Amino acid sequence: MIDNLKELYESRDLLFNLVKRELKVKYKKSALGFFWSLFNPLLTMLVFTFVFAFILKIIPPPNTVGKTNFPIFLLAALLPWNFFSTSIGSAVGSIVFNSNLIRKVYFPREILPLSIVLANLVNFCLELVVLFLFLIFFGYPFFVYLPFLIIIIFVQLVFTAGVSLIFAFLNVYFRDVQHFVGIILMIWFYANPIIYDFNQHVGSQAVKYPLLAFVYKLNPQADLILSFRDVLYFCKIPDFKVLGYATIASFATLFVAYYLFKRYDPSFAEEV
Amino acid sequence: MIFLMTAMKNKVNNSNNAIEANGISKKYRIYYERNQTIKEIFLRRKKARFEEMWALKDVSFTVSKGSTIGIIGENGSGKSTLLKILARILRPDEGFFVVNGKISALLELGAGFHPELTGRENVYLNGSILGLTQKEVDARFDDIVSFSELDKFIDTPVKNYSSGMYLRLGFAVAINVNPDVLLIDEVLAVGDELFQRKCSDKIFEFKAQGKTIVLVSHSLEAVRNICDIAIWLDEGCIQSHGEARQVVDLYLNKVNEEERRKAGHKVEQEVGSRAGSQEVEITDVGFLNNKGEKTDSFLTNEEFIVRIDYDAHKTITNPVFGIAVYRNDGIHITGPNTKISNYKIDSINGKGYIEYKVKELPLLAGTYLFTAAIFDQSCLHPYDVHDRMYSFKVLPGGTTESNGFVSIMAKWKHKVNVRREM
Ligand SMILES: Nc1ncnc2c1ncn2[C@@H]1O[C@H](COP(=O)(O)OP(=O)(O)OP(=O)(O)O)[C@@H](O)[C@H]1O
Ligand SMILES: [Mg+2]
Repeated sequence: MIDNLKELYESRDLLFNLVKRELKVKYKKSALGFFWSLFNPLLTMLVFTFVFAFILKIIPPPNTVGKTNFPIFLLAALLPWNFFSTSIGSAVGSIVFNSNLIRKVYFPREILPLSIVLANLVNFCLELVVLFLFLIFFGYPFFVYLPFLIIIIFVQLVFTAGVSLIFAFLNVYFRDVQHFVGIILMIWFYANPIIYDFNQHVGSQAVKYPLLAFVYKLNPQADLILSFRDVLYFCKIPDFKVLGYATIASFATLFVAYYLFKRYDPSFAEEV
Repeated sequence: MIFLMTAMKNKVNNSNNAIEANGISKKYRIYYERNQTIKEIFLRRKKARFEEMWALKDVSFTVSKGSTIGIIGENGSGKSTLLKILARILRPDEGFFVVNGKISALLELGAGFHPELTGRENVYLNGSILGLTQKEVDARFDDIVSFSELDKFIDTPVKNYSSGMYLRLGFAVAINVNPDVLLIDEVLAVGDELFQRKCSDKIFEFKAQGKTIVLVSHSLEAVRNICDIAIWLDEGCIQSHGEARQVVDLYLNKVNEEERRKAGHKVEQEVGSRAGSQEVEITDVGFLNNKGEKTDSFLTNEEFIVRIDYDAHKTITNPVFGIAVYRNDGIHITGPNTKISNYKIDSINGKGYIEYKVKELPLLAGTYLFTAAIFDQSCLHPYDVHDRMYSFKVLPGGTTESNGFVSIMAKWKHKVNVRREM
C-alpha cells in the first residue's frame, strides 16, 4: 500500500497532465467553454425552482439570518451532487475506454479515474465561485464559514474518489456496470436531501420508518450535502456529528476502494 | 529503482546486470464463453469456459548493463508478452525479474495522444505518460521538436497530422525519455526510410551512451547489426540464447529448413507433373576444400570447390550447368552458369560431374544456401533444378573483415599532397 502511494505520488505530473487534458478538451470544444458548463446547473435550478417552489409551493426553512431562498437552498446541494454524479458517470468507463493505453504503457492505473474526479473538482470549484456571487448579492454572511467549506469539499473529494475507483474497477470485469450507473445515480439523487429539507421531510418520518431512516443515514453523501447546505445556505457551523460520520465513512470508502483496485489492477491489461 | 516482482528480497542481485529474469512464465486464458456482464451472470448461470495457454514458459536470462539484446521468433512466439512483462504491463504467473535502472517501453508510438490537443500539449501529455516529470519535458522540449522536425505544426491539433507525422512526434518523445533500459517492440519498422535511419542512428547513440536496449524485431538484419546478444523464442520457450549473429543464423536455418520442407513437397509435385524433363538428374552436390575433402564449412579466402554429379539418361547436346549462392536471409549473391562463362560442353550421356572452383572464396562469415541446376542450351528448359537444397557455412577467421557480404581483393593507399604547417 505504501509503495503504491509512493508510486502514485511519483506520477503526479501525469495526473496533472491528464486533468489538464480533460479540462482542455472539455473547454476547447466550444468558444463559450466554461460558460456552457454553468448552463446545465443553472437550467436544472430554474426547472426545479419552477416545479418545487412555484407549483408545489415548497418553502425551505429560513436560515440563520432569517432568509428563505429556494434557488440557493437548491444550488448549495445540487452543485456538490453534480460534482459527485458527473465524476462517477465518467470515471466508470475510464479504464475500459483507455484500454489502448492500459495495454501499451505502464503507469499507476488509478490515475485514470482520479484525473476525471480532479477535473470535475476544478469545475465544481468554479461553479462554487459563481454561487458565491449569488450569496454575496443576496447578503449571505457565508465567508465566516469558508474554512469549514474547504474541509467539506475535501471530504467530498475523498468520497467521490473512492466511489469512482470502485465503479471503474467493477466495469473492467462487468461491462454493463456503466449502464447501471445511470440508474443507480438517479435513485441515489432522491436518497439525498437535495430537493427537500432533511429535517422537514425526513426527520419527521424517521420515527415511523426506523429501518428506512437507518439506511438513509448510512449514506455519507447525504451527510456531505447536509454539511454543504449548513455552510452555504444556513450560514452556520456544520453539525460535527454529521460531518464527522461523513469523514470517517468517506475515508473508509476510499481505503477499501483503493485496496480492491490495486489488488486487481495488475491484470487490467489482460482484461480490457 | 529496483523492482522485485515476487518475494526475492533475500536474493542478491548483481548490479552489473540491467535485467535479470528468472523462470518467467505467463499464461493467457482463451475464452470460448465469457461472462463479461452482470446480466450474463444472472441470465446464463453458467461458468465461463476457457482454455489456458502458456505464452511464455520458464524464460530466464540476464542482460548486462550497456548491452543490446535482440528477441526474435515467429509470430505469436511470445516476444511482445515478454516485453510487456518487463515493462510491468503484465504480471507473470511464475518467476520473477529485476530491472536495475529506469525503464521505458516503446510498445506503441504516441500512446495517449489526444486528437483535439496540439502537438505541444500532446508532447507534455505523452511525456508524462512515459514517466517524465514536467520539468524533464520542459528541458527536452526543444530536442523533441527538432528531432520530430515538426516545428511548424507543433501548435496544430494532432488530428490534422498525417500518420507519419504522428509517429514522428511519438518517437521523438519516446526517444527523449532517456531511460537506462529501453524496451522496443517493432516500432522501428514504421515511418519512411529517412525516419527509420534517424531512429537507428538514435539507437546507436543510445548504445554508445552505455544504455541497455531490448529490441524485438522481425528485421533480422537489424538484430544482427545492432544487438550483441539475442534470444530466439519459440512457442514461449527459449530456443537459443547467445551471440546475436549465431542466434540469427540458427533461427534462419530453421526458417529455411521449414521453407525448404514446404517447398520440397511442391517440387515433388512439380516433378511428378513434369514428365520428360528429367533426362538428366543431379545425383549429388558436394563442397570440397583444397585437400579435396568433403566439408560444409569454409573460411574466407580459402579454396572452395563444388562438385555436381549427374546422370544423363540420354544424349543431351550443349547442356548448361548453373549454380546460385544465396545468403540465408534470401539475398542472392551470385548465379553463374556455364553458358554465361562461355564454357561449352558438347554433349553428355551417362554419369559424370562438373566442378565449380573458387580459388579464394570472397564470402564473409555466415550461412549460405546453394542451388545447382542443369538446363538445355537455351536456358529455358530445366532438366533438373535443386533450388537452395544445399548449404555451407563460412566460419569467421579467414579474414579480419566483417561488414557486408564479401571481401574483395583490394588495397588501400594513402598519400599526402600538402602538409599544413602547424
Ligand atoms: N491478451 C491476450 N489474450 C490471450 N492470448 C494472448 C493475448 N496476448 C497474446 N496472446 C497470445 O500469446 C501468444 C504470444 O503473443 P505475443 O503477442 O507475445 O507474440 P509475438 O511474439 O509478439 O508475436 P508477433 O511477432 O506477431 O508480434 C500468442 O499466441 C497470442 O495469441
Ligand atoms: Mg509482438
